[in-house]
Amino acid sequence: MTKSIYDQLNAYGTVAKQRLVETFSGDDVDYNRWGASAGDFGFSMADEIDGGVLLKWYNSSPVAGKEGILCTSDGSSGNKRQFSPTNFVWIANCKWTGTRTQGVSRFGIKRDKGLGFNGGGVAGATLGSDNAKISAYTTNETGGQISVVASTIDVDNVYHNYKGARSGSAYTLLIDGVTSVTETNGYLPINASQPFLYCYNNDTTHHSLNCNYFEVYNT
Amino acid sequence: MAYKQHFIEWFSGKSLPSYWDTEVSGTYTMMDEVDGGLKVTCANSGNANGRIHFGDKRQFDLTSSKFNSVAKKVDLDGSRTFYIGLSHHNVIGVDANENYGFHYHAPNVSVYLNARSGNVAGSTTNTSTGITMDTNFHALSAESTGTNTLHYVDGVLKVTNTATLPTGNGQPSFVTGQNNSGQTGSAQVRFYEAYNT
Repeated sequence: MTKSIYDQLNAYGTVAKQRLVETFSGDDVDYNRWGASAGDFGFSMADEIDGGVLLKWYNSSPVAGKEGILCTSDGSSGNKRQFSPTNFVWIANCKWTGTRTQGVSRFGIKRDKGLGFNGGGVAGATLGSDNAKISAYTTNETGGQISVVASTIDVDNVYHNYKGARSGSAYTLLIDGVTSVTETNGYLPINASQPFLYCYNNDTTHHSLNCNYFEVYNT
Repeated sequence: MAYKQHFIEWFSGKSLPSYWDTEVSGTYTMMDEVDGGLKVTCANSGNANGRIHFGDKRQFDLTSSKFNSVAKKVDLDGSRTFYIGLSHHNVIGVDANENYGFHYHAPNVSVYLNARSGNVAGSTTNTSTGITMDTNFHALSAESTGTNTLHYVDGVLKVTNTATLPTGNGQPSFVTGQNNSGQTGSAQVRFYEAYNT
């Protein structure tokens, strides 16, 4: 087998499109790549096997209404949106820890670095208070319309492999390799996007999101 | 077989990773555009250049290695140069430098993208790939075998160089520069991979 990663990922002679691969290993988040653009959650590398990065309110007394987002932008560098809203794949290994009353975590790709989701142009997944089931979460960018389409899989507290893919008008969410959700409302992004991980606290107890792999590429 | 040095860079995210060194007179911007990667721009002064490299940490064997890249020149006029490859020195990777890769030197020199190899004595061979330089992204790959350098554009072997071959060790290098003041020049790269064979 060829040693070339390029040749393994691309048909011979193809001009490869943008790709991001993040394994969230090491002593800190790579803030050359990632930016904590808004909000007040803590982002730290987990000291646990397969822990990856941990998004969690960073002190002992969580505060309701607090939220945070990790994306490829920050306040000083502006948005860095290198991924197509219509022809993309994102893959994430994530574990949500908590109960539905505690909050919500979302991840995938998103147009803007801000915390807002209404009209934010999102194609992702949601775990927590949005729905009792693992769900696809998408929004359009003109009317601020949100679509939450549930799978048949209960939200739980173990790692799953999530894969969001869009080609043209269809957005699908695969959970552990199985096509689980197809977005049906047509509320989909239309502008260039960036990867994101997000948490929101509903109450004053801890919930959290671990992610140990995140990949995005244009197709 | 023991694993050999292998480097891969996607040029995705907020900013250029810290393991790259940069020429201070250039600017280096992760692009806010689909498939944009990193944009390198040289300063507006005589012989300025923008370049990224490993600060003379040379982990690749210039007699037995390969690199793959996806890059483009943003502007073609004037005297604006472009280089991508593996080079011994972190300086522009153009002259008096062991290296192999691709080079373009603006239409006042040649309209073609050249395959380039340079040896330790400072001699350089430029051979036209036959590809007229444009402003589109291309897959630019080259391999050094010790007896030649093989240069591929978009998967097609365009040039086999057998003269002025490099013999030392090298580092990834991506350069955009200019020879005249009053100009700036830019180039973008969204993928770079290098490994010893």
